[in-house]
Amino acid sequence: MKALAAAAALVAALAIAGALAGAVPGGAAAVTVVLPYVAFCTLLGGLTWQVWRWAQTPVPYRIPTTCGQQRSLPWIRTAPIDNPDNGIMAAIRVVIEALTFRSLLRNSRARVGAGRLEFSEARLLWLASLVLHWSLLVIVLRHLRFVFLPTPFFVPTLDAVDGFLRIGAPPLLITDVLVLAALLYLLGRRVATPMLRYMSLFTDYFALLLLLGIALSGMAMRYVAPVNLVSVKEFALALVALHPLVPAAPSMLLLVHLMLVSTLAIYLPFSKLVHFGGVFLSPTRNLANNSRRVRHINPWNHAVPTHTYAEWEAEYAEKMKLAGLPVDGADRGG
Amino acid sequence: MGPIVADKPAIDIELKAPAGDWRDARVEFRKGTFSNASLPKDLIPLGLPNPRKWQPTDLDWQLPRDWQRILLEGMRERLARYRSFRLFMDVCVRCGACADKCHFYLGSGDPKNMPFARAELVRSVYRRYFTTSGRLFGKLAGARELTEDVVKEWFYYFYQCTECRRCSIYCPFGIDTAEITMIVRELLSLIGVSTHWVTEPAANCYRVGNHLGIAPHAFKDGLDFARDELRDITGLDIEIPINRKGAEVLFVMPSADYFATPHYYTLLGYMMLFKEIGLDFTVSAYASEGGNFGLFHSNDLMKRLNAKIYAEAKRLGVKWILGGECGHMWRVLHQYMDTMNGPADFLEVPVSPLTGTRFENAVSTKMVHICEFTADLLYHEKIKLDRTRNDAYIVTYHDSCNPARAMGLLEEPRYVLERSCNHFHEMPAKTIREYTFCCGSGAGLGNDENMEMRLRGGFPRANAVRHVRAEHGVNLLACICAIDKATLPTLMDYWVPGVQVAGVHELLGNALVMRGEKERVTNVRGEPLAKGGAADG
Amino acid sequence: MPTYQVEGRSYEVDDDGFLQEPELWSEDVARDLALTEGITELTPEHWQLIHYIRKYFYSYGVAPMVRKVCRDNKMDLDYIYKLYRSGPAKGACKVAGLAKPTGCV
Repeated sequence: MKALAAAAALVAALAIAGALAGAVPGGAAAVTVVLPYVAFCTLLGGLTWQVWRWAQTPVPYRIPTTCGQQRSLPWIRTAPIDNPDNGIMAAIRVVIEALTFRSLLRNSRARVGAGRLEFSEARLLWLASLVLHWSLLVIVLRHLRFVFLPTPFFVPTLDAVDGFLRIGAPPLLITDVLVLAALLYLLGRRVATPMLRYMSLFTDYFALLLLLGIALSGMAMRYVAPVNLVSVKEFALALVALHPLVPAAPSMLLLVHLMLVSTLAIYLPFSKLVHFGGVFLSPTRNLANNSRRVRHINPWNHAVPTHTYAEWEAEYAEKMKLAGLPVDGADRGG
Repeated sequence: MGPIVADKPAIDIELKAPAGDWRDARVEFRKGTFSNASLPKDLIPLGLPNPRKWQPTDLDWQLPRDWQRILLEGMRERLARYRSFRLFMDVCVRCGACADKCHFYLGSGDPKNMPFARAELVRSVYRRYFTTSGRLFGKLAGARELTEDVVKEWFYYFYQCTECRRCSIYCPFGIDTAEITMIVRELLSLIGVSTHWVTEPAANCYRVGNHLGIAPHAFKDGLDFARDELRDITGLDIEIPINRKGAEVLFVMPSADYFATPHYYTLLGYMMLFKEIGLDFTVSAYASEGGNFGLFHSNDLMKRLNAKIYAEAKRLGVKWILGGECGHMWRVLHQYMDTMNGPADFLEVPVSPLTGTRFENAVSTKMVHICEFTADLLYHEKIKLDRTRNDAYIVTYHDSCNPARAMGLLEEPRYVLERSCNHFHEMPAKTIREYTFCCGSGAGLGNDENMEMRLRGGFPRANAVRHVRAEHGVNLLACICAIDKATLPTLMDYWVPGVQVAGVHELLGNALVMRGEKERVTNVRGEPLAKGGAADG
Repeated sequence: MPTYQVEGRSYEVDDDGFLQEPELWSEDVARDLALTEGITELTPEHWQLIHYIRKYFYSYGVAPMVRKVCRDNKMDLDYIYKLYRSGPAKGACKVAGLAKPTGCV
């Protein structure tokens, strides 16, 4: 629980620092201009570096985990996606994984009781993760209205769909609700499951709390203390155009929001939040299971000492002759 | 089989909430839960580092003076060589989906047996020495110093993983604990930390030709004995050619098939099949081991042992290679052999001499699984089976981890089984095929000193067998893995007494109707045939 | 390494009671080792198996297959388990002073 407390304290400190920045000379400029640029560059540079580091590391062996029937005899029905036989099917496997979190969907729960093991379905983790990621995507896309002029065509549609509940004004966006629910579930699950709590690190809590802080500060700007959208857009467009304007009287919530988002951007490339790399680059998932059909090349396949047939025969030739086994040495001699 | 587990240890299975901090590396080496250390007599001929007499229970493991530098250098090297290792160190989010998928966790309740926790044991060291955040923020970033206690902890937990890959199928990022275990075992081997049950078979295999150290004349004696037994069972003279040049097919099987029971009955099954179809084949005394305990030690050792198969195929001038029933052997043959020791351009694309089927899935490796070969024969009706000869058996099938999750060989053995016996029932869906549970003794853990942990790890598998025994009266567990055949009988005796273990080709051998055979009165085990039920097919 | 002690004599053995140095074997040693199988008096049938196994080991360097032990001695496996409660491989071979086999066995 120390990790949880430390993570909560850090997120709170960041939020307070953001909130108070406007009161310090130059503070607003630091949070609204310097930090976003630093964060954006770190995010871009960090992700590029991580992906490059993974991509340039060789894949010496073809080691897909197969989750269905292989392609062997033509009359046996195969599982073309769960056990891909070629690169295209392997790519489809990866895409399905990325879009639907297929592996998490397999999740089940095992219980041990009275010397028996029982399995039950456990889809909540899958649901919460899927909801979290898709909602985050929609939220990021919705934010494009701030940085593009004119507003991209799909953003109003997205807004309309997202607000289909038509509750309140401005209408409640369903992704806002979902993202909160998913984050709270993941956090609650982590704290409430003893085994998970035992292994959880600072970073596990920090990532969730940071996202929670971002979501809450963002929602507050929409539902609780609405900010002037026009001025926010002016500020954001200037930032994107590399002619930054420090807002005259930035809302405290905006400062908190920017502070936390920038922290996330800086933190992301160097934390477990780079886990998307696993989805796309994992050799257990993105390779076809065709290692007997197509030779896979290991770029560093080095030579190793072996015990050759001749060395072996030299040791056993006499006994082999006695047992009536053919011997190469004798062949040559005769 | 007689009583194998003489005195049953009382095993309570309970998943308790863990106490303390997982970073505390101290491990209690309790009898029954770990494997003995390698002996110098095996490390020296293999040229492996730091041979010495030691045991895990020793306070001083007699590590080389610069053991920490060796391990860190070894990690650096492997991080640069294996994308899998680098990625699996970076991307885990500790969601815990893998936790209750591990048979050792389910059987032991030890939280460090949760796959993500097992990986965290090495990930914490990775963070400390190979990431900026870990170097700067230490414990806060989940980093941990590499101490001798950590080495002992690695030894304990990475020799408490059977490399079964079950956790990997549940992982949203495909993190494969087997891969991490293989790399950590390889690291430990650099400082002379490995187990006797792995390095003795490896040393035997390297020098003599097989795990058991059966020299060529003894190999011949064993196969001659099988010939005598086959004559008694079938009335036919079934010769098993050894080192015969110019044969069409080299047949490679795990050495247990010609030494241990019940593996041996599977050997009889293969040989009856080959006789009936007139296969032009040979076995080799030099490459008399399909299994590869190098896989459980280091990739280099795996490669050194595996090299014999292609070398021997080349020397004997065969056209292609057929492989017997063995799980980890097929991990190596399917996913590593061609890459490590290929290209096999001196061989021909495998074609079944009876059906003309070209094994398109093996055109590069040139090695076919016996179940693929036999299923093809059955599909083309090239052999005749009398399944009533297996009527005494009510059969279920255990998917061996490697053919299931590193190959996808699921239907072929079932196709053979369903045609070889009348009574076949599957275990529950979450425990078979890609979801199969390990026997608990794979990856070199099948020794007696590790018995308690084996029985614990095998519990999820046994639990599923118990289910079908209660539902259908199952009395035979069929499988296609030599480690299974060696260790499942013990597991069954403990958890599900009365269930025997057999290879798929043992049942095929029983059912196989052979030209010119005498009337069968016994099965291949020499037990009287229970006649009953109508013959079909 | 554990030691097995009996009446003041001690032997270096592995965890399963197999002799560490098989060359130290003698008939007296066999009588001592037999005690670990709960055998106080080795009968001619016990000796038959011991001598058979040792002879095979001397010729081939390995223990004989279990199936072969049964067949050549005209004993079924259950009967061998009656003679040696740990069976042919882990009982009879131990008393005969062989090393324990490793691998998929």
